[in-house]
Amino acid sequence: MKRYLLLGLTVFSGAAQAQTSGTMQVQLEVLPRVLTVSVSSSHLDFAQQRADAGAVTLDPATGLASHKAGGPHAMGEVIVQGPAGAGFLVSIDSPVTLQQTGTRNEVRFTSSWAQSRGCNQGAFMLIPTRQTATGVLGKDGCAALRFGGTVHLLGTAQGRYAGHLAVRITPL
Amino acid sequence: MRSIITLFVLNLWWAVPMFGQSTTVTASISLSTPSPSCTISGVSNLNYGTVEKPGSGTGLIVINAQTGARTSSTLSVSGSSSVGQARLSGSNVASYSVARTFPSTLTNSSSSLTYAGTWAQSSNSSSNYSAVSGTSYSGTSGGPGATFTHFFRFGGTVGDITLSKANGTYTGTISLAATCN
Repeated sequence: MKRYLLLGLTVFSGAAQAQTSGTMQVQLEVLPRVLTVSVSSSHLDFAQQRADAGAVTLDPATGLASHKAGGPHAMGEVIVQGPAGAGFLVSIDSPVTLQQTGTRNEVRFTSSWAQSRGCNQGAFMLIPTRQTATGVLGKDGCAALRFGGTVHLLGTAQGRYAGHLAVRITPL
Repeated sequence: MRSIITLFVLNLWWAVPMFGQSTTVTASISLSTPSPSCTISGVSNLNYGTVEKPGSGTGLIVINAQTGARTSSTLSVSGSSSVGQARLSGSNVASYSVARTFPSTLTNSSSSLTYAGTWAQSSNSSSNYSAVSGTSYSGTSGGPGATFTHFFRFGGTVGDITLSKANGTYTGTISLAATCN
C-alpha cells in the first residue's frame, strides 16, 4: 500500500507582457516676411534752378532733370532686399512742402518714384501711382527704388529750400 | 484506559509505516520567467525652428529623421532646430514593438499647416539610423536577464506655408506606444 503526500508550490511573478506609451511635441514658428531696406542715396537734390523756371522735374525713370541746373542734381535711392519674388508696398507722403530756412517761404514738391526689378540692371520703370504702390524683388532678391519729383518755382523767392520725404516700405 | 491504548495503536499505525510499505513525498514548484518591463520616453522634441512666410506660392520645410538635417528649398529658415528623439529601454524583453501616431497638421490658434511625419530607428543613440516604413516597428532583445535600449528619431515635412497663414507657433503631438514581451 502506497500513500502519497503531494506538496505543491506555484510562483507567479506577474504578467508576461508590458506596455508603455509616451508623447513628443512637434513645433514650428512662422514669422512674417522680413525685408532689409537700405538707403544708398538719401540726397534728392534739384541743384540750383532759376526762380522763374516753373515746374522742374527730376525723372526717376531716366535720372534726368527737365531743366538745366547749376551744379549736379541727385536722386534718392533705396535698396530693398529679401527673398526673390517677394512683394512689398511703398507708401510716400506727397506732396511735401520745402521750407526756406529762417523764413515762411515754401516750395511745393510732388514726389515720383521708379523701380528697378533687381539691383544689377539699370532700367528703372516709373511707377504711375505716386503715393502708394507695390513692388516685387527680382531674381537676385533685390529691388532698387529711385525717387525724384517736381518742384513748382513760379514766384518763388531766392534761397535754399529743404524738406523731408517719408518713404515707408512694408512686406506683403 | 483501553481507549487510550487503542488511540496509541492507531497513532503508531499512522506514524510508522508498516513493514513492506513505502511513502513517497512529492514536492513541486512552478516558477515563471521574470516579467518583461519597458519604458518609452521622449529625449528631445521635434523642433523646426523658424521660417519666414513666402511672398507668393507655397513653402515647406523638412527635417530628415535619419540625419536630423533641416532643409527648405524656398523659405528663409532661422533659429535652431532639433530632430525628435525617443528612447525605449527595458529588461527581460525577448521581443518588442513600437507604434507611432503622427498628427496630420500642426496648428496654432487660428490656422494650421500640413505635417507628414517620418521616423527612423537605431540601437545607437547618435548614428546608424535607418528609416522605418509603416506605423510600427518590431525588434528583439536578449530576453530574461537582459536589458536593452533602442532609439527612435522623428522628422518629416511641414507644408502649406503661405503668406496667408497666421504668424506664430504651430504645434502638434506625436504619440508613441510600446509593447514588450
